[in-house]
Parts: sequence; structure tokens; C-alpha cells
Amino acid sequence: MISLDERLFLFINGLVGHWPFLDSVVSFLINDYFVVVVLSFLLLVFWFAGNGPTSRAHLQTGFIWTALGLALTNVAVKLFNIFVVYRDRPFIRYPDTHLLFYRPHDSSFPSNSVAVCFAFAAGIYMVNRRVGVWALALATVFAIGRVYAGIHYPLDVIGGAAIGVICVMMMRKLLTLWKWFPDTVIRIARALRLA
Amino acid sequence: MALLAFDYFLLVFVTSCGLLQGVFAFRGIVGLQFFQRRACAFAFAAASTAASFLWFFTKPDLDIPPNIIEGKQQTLTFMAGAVSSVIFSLLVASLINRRRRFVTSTPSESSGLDDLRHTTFVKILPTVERDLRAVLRSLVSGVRK
Repeated sequence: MISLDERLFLFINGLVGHWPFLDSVVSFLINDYFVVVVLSFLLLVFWFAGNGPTSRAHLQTGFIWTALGLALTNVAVKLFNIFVVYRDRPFIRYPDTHLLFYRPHDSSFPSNSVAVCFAFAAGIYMVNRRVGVWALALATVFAIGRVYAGIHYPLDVIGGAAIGVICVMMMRKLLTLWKWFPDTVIRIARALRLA
Repeated sequence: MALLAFDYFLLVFVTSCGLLQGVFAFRGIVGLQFFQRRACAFAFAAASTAASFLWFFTKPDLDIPPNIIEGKQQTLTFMAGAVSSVIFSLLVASLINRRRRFVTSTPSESSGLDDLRHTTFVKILPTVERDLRAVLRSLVSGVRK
């Protein structure tokens, strides 16, 4: 029996080929670099963007928890793949899948790249909601694009997004309790005139 | 793959240099600016970002195995590119602004990045070293206690 997840995948992926322009846009957006690089630059700009020491410290604390949240996200996805579940990519189960991407060999669930994008976007949202909304929108487009391109089931990207957001939220909570850590990093950076 | 990683490094380096110039000009951190006019800094930011993105993302062999960069290597390359661009900005802006007369004098107490509104990084390097030693000393003594 085809699960709802797989039916949704077949519906979304079935749209490939109807609008060649959309296929080109999605192919560009879902490559391994574009969205990750854009979100990384947003975070880098945040480090220096504050107007005065207090505002800068707020943004830099956000930078630190997002960076550590990203590291935690990667570990969580790896552990998930090793100990919890290994799911074949949709193009293995459905050879007729319309592929707009190369054939990755790792587990389909959870989507590592979507987890990373949502970790970035959630971190940015927690620091600056106005920019964060755009970051979340970009991450969402990326996630849907990965399904459209035939390399993930919808549940893979939902799982990835949840892992990314939860990891950054956990790191934020942890660093609120261990405030000495971001404070120390910022103190050292301030001595170097970089914060 | 190594060549693509180097291209990725260049993308990050050039774009970071441009974006940082935009931010420094926006926030008035004069000692880190390559240009005296804000408009020039914004134009430089836009041009370097657009040029490097166009160059990298129009590569015909991008994302075609084995020409891909794995996640871990991507992260390390991004960090290397971003850190290099910050160091480059500190040094080049110091060189460009070495003869510049700043409107206000250097404050006696450190206020971090804001110090570079009044001077260049190279000019306050001895103070930076002293402050860094003081911070590290206080951290070490804090750990011992």
C-alpha cells in the first residue's frame, strides 16, 4: 500500500516537466550550495551588523547558538541514520521518478540539507524576526524543491526541518543557562576588536 | 573536487569581503572601510556579491558527481573563506587608511569593534595584544578558582 507520504511525493514529483521554467528554477535553488551559502552570509553579516555594543552582543549570541545548533543538527542527523532508520531514496523505489538532481547515496530520512537550512533559518528568526521570516521562506522553498526534484519524500524534509529547528532551540536554551560561554567568546572577540 | 572546493573558497572570500564592506560602511566603522564614500562601499558590496555568485553558480559542472563538496568540507571551506576575508579586511583597510585623519580621537578604554571607528586595526595592534592577554589571563585565573 502506498502511504500518504509516497502518494504526496508522486503527486509533487509528477509536476516535473509541465513547466520547464519552474524546473530550471528549482534545479538552481536546490543545488548543494545556493541556499546554504545565502543563509550563511546572512549569519555572517549579523555578527557585525549591530548598532552599538548591546545590539551587537544580542546578534552575536544568536550567531553562536545558531552555529552550535548547526553542529548539533549534523550530529543528530548522523545518529538518526546510524541508529534509528535508513530509508531508501524515492528514485530507488520508483525508477520512473523525474530527477532534477544527481543520485545521492545516503539515507533519504531525515533530509540533512533541509535540517541544516532550517537550523540556519530558525536561528536567524530567533534573533531577528523580520529577516528570519524570509530565511524560513527560503528554507521552505528549498525543502519543497527537494521533493519536487525527486530526491526526498515529504516526510524526509519535514523530519529534517523538525530536527534543525529543535537542535537550534535546544542550543538556545542551553546557552541561556550557560551564558558564560557566549559571553566568553564575545569577550575574546571584543579584545580582538571583532565584536 | 579539490578545484571546486577552491572555487567555493573564492566565492565565500570575495562575497564576504564585499558584504563586510557594506556593513562597515552602513555602521560607520571607518577604520575597516576600503572606501571613504558609503556609496562606493555599497556598490562594491553589490558588485562583488553579484559577480562571485554569477561566476560560481553558472559553472556547467556544478553538482555533477564526482564534482561535489561534502557537507563537512563545505562548512570548513566556508569558515576558512569567511575568516580570511575578515583578516584581509583588517589588513587592507589599515593600509588604505594609514594616513587618514580620523574625526575623533581613539578612546582610552576598549569598546571592541567601535574602536575602529576612530583608528585602524594595525595602529592599535599593541593595545589589542594587551587586551587579549588580559582577557585570557582573567579566564585562566577564573578556571583555577
